[in-house]
Amino acid sequence: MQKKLAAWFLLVALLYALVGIAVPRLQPDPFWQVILIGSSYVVIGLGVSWLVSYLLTRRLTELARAASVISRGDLTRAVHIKGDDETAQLARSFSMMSESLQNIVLEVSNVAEQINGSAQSLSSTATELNHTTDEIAETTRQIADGAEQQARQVAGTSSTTRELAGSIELVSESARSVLRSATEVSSRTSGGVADVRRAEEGIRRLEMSTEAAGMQVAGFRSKANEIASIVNFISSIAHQTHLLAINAAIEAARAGEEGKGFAVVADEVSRLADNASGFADKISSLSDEIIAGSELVAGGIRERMVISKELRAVIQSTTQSLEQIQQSSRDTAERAEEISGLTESQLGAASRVVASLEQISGIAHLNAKGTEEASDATAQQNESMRRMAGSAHTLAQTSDQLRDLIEIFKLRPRAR
Amino acid sequence: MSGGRALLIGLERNRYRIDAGAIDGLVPTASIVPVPRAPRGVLGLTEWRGRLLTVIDLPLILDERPNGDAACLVRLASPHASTALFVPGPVRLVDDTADVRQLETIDPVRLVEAIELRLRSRPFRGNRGVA
Repeated sequence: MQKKLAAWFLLVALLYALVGIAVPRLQPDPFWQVILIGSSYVVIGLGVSWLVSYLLTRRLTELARAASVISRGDLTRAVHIKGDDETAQLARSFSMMSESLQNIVLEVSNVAEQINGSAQSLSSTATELNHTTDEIAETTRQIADGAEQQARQVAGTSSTTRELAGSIELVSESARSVLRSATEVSSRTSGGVADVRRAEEGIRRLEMSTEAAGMQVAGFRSKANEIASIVNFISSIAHQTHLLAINAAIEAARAGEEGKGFAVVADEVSRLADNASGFADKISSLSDEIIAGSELVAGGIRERMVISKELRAVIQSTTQSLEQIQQSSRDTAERAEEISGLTESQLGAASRVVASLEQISGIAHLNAKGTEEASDATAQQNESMRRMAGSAHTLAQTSDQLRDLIEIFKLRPRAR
Repeated sequence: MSGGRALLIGLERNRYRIDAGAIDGLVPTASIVPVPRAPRGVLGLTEWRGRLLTVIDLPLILDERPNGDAACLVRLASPHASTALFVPGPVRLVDDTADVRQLETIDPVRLVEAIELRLRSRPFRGNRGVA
């Protein structure tokens, strides 16, 4: 630059020298010489000063124009000024500044893009979270309802289990009572079996004596039959005697007066025969009554034999039944004892179940309370999510505004 | 004939009297053999001391029924000495008083004649050897 200025200074000096030499030669008049030289010098001086000012302001103007373009956001404009002077250094600094500004704007644009994306993502995530939180809140309410219902059901189950325990206690008492009764039945049945065996023996003896009586009655009947046949015979004789007496009386009547005495005898004989016939009839009726009585007694004896046989069968059946009852009562006693033991263990189990149910009830109450708190927390979280979604929306709007602002800058395409 | 004796017969409904003179005697009831195609009222035939007696069913003739177990045959006197009445009831020989005569009287002669009349009105006709 200094060399350039020295060259320019030599050129101007040369021009002045040339004018100073040429004018005296061309114009002899000194006046005009002075005028010409002075005017030439003024013209040259003006030209030099214009040139100097031009050279000085040209790069600054270019720099100012570039600054104006940059100020409108166009960062594509590059400033190329050669040289090492202050203006060139200023231009380089200006270019570096423009470059840096472009880099910064690019970075800011990228960041704004990222912020926008993140804000939208955050907004959608917040919306999803909001939905999810709503679902969680609904689920939590359902859990709370379920927990309350569970608590109520557990309370009901606990009450039922207490009733069950009461019933088991009653069953246990009944089983003990059955055990006592079965033991008593067993002992009484043993006595009953012995009594029934004695009764069977008595009936057997009674049967034997009845059989002997039956045989005696049969003998009586045989004798009575014999009597009846004898009486029949007597009756027949009486009848014949009666007929003979009537015949004798008829004959006596035929004999007339001489037969009167005979007739008296015949009448007496007839009367005796009638008496004999009457007695024979009475004996016959008595023997018939004896026979009928014997038949009745024999029928009674037969009936008694049948009844005693039936009784014996009944007693044998009763003995078997009593023995079965005895066995059954023993079995019943064993079962009742087992039931008693089982009910005691059931009672213990029921008590443990009641205790567990009470614990479950407490836990269910705690669950209900916890789910209520969780529901409140979820509601708060839901509110926070809504606020966060609002903030994300605002952030997205802000990043959009930032992007709009950055879009003012016109950037040079970057090599990738 | 007898001058005051009569045989009283007691059947189920009534008592009857037979004049003692019309009677030859009383015999116990023996086996009576039925006679085929005999007229109504003839019970059958029986044997008494080697003689054959025609037995007349008195209850049937009188439209009566037996009375009790006692039964006998009343042999009629001549001219019907081969005829006997079957009497299933008590018999007694009594004095023929006015009270007795109030009872229904059986006339053996007329009885037998009536039966004989029946017998004649329906003479025996054999099934064999008769054209």
